[in-house]
Amino acid sequence: MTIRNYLKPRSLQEMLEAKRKHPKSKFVAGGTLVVKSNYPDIDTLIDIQDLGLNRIRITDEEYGIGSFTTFTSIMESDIDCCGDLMKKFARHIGPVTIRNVATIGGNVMSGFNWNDTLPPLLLMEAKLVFEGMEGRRETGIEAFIENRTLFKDMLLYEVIIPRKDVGKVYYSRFSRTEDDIPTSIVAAHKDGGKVRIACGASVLKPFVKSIAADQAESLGIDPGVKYIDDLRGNAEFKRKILLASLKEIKEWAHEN
Amino acid sequence: MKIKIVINNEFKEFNVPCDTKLIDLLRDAGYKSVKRGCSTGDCGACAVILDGKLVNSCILYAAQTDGHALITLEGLGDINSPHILSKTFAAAGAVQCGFCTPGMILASYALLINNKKPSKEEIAEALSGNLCRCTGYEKIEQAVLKAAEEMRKGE
Ligand SMILES: Cc1cc2nc3c(=O)[nH]c(=O)nc-3n(C[C@H](O)[C@H](O)[C@H](O)COP(=O)(O)OP(=O)(O)OC[C@H]3O[C@@H](n4cnc5c(N)ncnc54)[C@H](O)[C@@H]3O)c2cc1C
Ligand code: FES
Ligand code: FES
Repeated sequence: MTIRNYLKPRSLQEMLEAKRKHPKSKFVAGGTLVVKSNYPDIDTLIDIQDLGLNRIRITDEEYGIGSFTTFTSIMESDIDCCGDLMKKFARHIGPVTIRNVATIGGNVMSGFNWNDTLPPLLLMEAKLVFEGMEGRRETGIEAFIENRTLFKDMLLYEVIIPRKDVGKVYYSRFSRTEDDIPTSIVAAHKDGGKVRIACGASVLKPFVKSIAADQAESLGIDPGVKYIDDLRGNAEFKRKILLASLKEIKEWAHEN
Repeated sequence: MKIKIVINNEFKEFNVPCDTKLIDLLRDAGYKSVKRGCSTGDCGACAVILDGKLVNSCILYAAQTDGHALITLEGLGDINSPHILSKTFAAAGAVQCGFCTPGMILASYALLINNKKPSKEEIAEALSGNLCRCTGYEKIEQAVLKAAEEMRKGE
């Protein structure tokens, strides 16, 4: 379908009005995915750059990252949660040309199992705030991943990350080259007598679980965890990479 | 739709279809230094500087840049008064086929305006979105280090 309208709302009110008037519409944030995709049933693009969402709100309890915040802005910010996990994963999202425009909201909403944001956000117990026709809605990242379609037409407004001291953090990202999209991501921290482990990219559905460190590898062979074949590796390859990281976590947990 | 952009310090107005990509707008308007390589955001041949940051024009709608400021290689100088980076790239042998060169120079420029004395690691990071099939990158790195030195001397 031909794109007939390109709208740049200046307030949430205008954004909702645009959505109501143009049901066949798509949000544009950094555009790094939208611009090269083909959406046959879309006639309107809604650019969200003027909604004031390229900002990070810092309180004693939480970080509120506006959905239009770019990964470069995150890297340059004072944000300091889960050690330097936030900056570490932002650094890996493509090369600098991508990080300068790609947004956290665009990444969360693009819906791929390999999106770099998902395992760290799962580990950090992030909450997502959405704006839609029925008003504001808040949900945990786990619930969002389970039921993405519920939020299909809503604007992701903010990503909230609780501030808490979790001690040392484990992070591993496997990709063919440093700037390529990931084949496996694992992030973890200690959680009482257990280890909280978040996995993504290698698995069909990113997940987080707390488990005894000695049992970490069992997550990789859980029959409920599904792996997929794609051009970056077949399912068996991905299972093996994940198992290697889980084994490393077992050792990391004993040493730290 | 009507789009207003400041390109190389000149105010420009365009009337283009809503889904025009920035690379097409720029090339059609005569900014031929903006090269079409992969069209998927992977090679940096189409790179321009948007509000001080290096971006790929093949994965931006022109409409996203309405009301913003762009720099293309044409904005850095010309054959009669080349930018220091153009001189050091030529002198270091950092240009072979030349297809990546506009993007490489703009990536280097975006680095040097904020960092007058970059390390080799910082140069590699700043140029990480720009691919070169010919030079092996070492001469490009030398050209950036030399330009940084010249720019510091000129201050
Ligand atoms: C060369 C290259 C390398 C890349 N490398 C990586 C990588 O290493 N890791 C990785 O995870 N990704 C990577 N990507 C994918 C992509 O760049 C990122 O996922 C990016 O974060 C998308 O953000 P954006 O702002 O550009 O989104 P857009 O392209 O603007 O939007 C993406 C999707 O999200 C929707 N959307 C955007 N913002 C919102 C919002 N606030 N509310 C609701 N919906 C919204 C859009 O409608 C669209 O469906 C790469 C892309 C390229 C081109
Ligand atoms: S042509 Fe734009 S990144 Fe390759
Ligand atoms: S000089 Fe040929 S691609 Fe770089």
